[in-house]
Amino acid sequence: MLLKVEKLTKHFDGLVANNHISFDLAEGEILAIIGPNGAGKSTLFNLISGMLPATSGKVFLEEEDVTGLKPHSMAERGIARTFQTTTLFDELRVMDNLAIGYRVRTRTGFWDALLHSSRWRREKEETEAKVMEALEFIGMREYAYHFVSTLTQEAQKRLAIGVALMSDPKIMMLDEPTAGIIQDETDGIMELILRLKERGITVCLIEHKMRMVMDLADRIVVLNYGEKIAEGPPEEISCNPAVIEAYLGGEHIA
Amino acid sequence: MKYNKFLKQNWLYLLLLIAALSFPLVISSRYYIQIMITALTWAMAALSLNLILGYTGQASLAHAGFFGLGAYSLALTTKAGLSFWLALPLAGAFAAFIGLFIGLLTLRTRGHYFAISTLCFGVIVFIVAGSWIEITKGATGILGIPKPTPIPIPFIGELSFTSQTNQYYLVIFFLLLFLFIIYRLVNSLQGLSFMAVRNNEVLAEAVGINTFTTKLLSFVVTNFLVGMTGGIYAVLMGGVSPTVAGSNLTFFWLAYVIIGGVATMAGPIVGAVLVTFLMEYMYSLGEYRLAIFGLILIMAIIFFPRGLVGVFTRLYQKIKDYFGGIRGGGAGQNAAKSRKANETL
Repeated sequence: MLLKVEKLTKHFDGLVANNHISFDLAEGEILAIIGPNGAGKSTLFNLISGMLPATSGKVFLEEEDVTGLKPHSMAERGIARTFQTTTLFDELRVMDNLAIGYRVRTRTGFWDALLHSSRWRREKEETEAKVMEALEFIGMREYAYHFVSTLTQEAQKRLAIGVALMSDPKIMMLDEPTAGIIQDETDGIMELILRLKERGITVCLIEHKMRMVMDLADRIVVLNYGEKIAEGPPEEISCNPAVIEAYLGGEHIA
Repeated sequence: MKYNKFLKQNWLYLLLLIAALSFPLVISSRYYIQIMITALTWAMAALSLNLILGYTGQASLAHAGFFGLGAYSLALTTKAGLSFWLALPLAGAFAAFIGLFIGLLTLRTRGHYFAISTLCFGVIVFIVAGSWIEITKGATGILGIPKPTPIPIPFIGELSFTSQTNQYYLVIFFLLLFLFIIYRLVNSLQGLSFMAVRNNEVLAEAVGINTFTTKLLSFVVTNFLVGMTGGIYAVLMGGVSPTVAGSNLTFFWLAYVIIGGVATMAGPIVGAVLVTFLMEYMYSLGEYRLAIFGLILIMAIIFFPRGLVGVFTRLYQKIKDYFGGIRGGGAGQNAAKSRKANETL
């Protein structure tokens, strides 16, 4: 198992945001986490990526206990993530955003920078090559010198995935990669996610657009009020009565 | 051809360098040279402040505190007989060492809280300098710091620093050294980490940058540089007193950085030189100068968020784009490229 989440629980004072959530992530699959607003999906992401400390429970990456590690250590170990509200270095250029994404794989420090050591040169060239490759992959080659603030929402979403991709992660956790963009553009992002899978990257995504989830996901985990209420392949989830109830409210007539 | 291109890209810097080097030869007034020495010393302090404040986004208000640590360190060690050339890096190292511990404590806080906690440290240094009479001689301070040890030069004799002109070149030398260090640092992957932290600390952490050690590195380098600046100031003045650690110095340097241009290479120097001369020009106005100074600062913050250098860069860019457009042929791409080239101004 690539990632194993075991009884992860998060209390915010009295509120239970996640209650004993367990699931596995197998190498190479696309797992979607769905659930109504406030179900605890983003909290779960924050717990796994180390942005929030869990109240209890454990996270294992390739059998190794990584619970409670800082986000930067998680990124170093190969768990990359994006944020629900597009989060980028908006004062910097597209290429610099990508270069920062690769920083975790480089070791250039103060003295290398000052003395222009061989490491400084090697890593500079390495970073430039990686940036070019990523620009190509996300289809934004002509935007290398653009500032982030001049990009469309869709381009920013692509770039956010590109930045996460730079560290050669094992797992990419995408928090609503298509939030706030129109249907036509959603298809482009979907195709990008499929190409991530082709690259051998395991994808775990939070998504609201059901059509996209059904098309993309190999498996789906459903959360409601901080509890896991279902898990399984898309066709099974789509006719699961508990899931339908969570989405449409109780007492529905089928 | 290669030199031609180099000249074309850097003519402005070369011009400024020539102007700076020939200043004491052209200007015969000892008065103006002295103001220039002071202005450039403040420029050095502003340059290092820009590293932590401008490039890393952490408003350290302990800057004068570390300046004071460097100044006192140099005063004590040179008076004990140590050569200036050893005492100066030692002054920087002392400030950096104390900075490491202060950083470990204060860098856990963010934003205003970091500013406040560093301000507190600055005030502590000021109070200690005034009260620890056995070491610092209290309010009178330490006087009679020897001039920098002359550097022997084979066959010619020696380079001494008793003349004002040579002191001016001493300051220019260290100013250029600081510029070189900061330029190399900011234009590297390490510098990119600083800017990542400034721009979005949460994202920087999420993409794998250890934001705490990144901030700590920037803070320590900043304090090394400002500690050395304090040492240079002390040797030029020939003495130190608690005022060298006064927080009003920090606020002046802060203003130089803001007026000149935050996170630009030239900004702190432009700000320091212009404001110092302006203040000197308005000397007869006495305390009213500060009101005018305050007004300039507010105007700069509201209308020129990237300072005078920002204004200048924008104008230069417009002119360049205009001519690039006339020549035609991939004007947009040229504009993007030249924008890239001007980024570090």
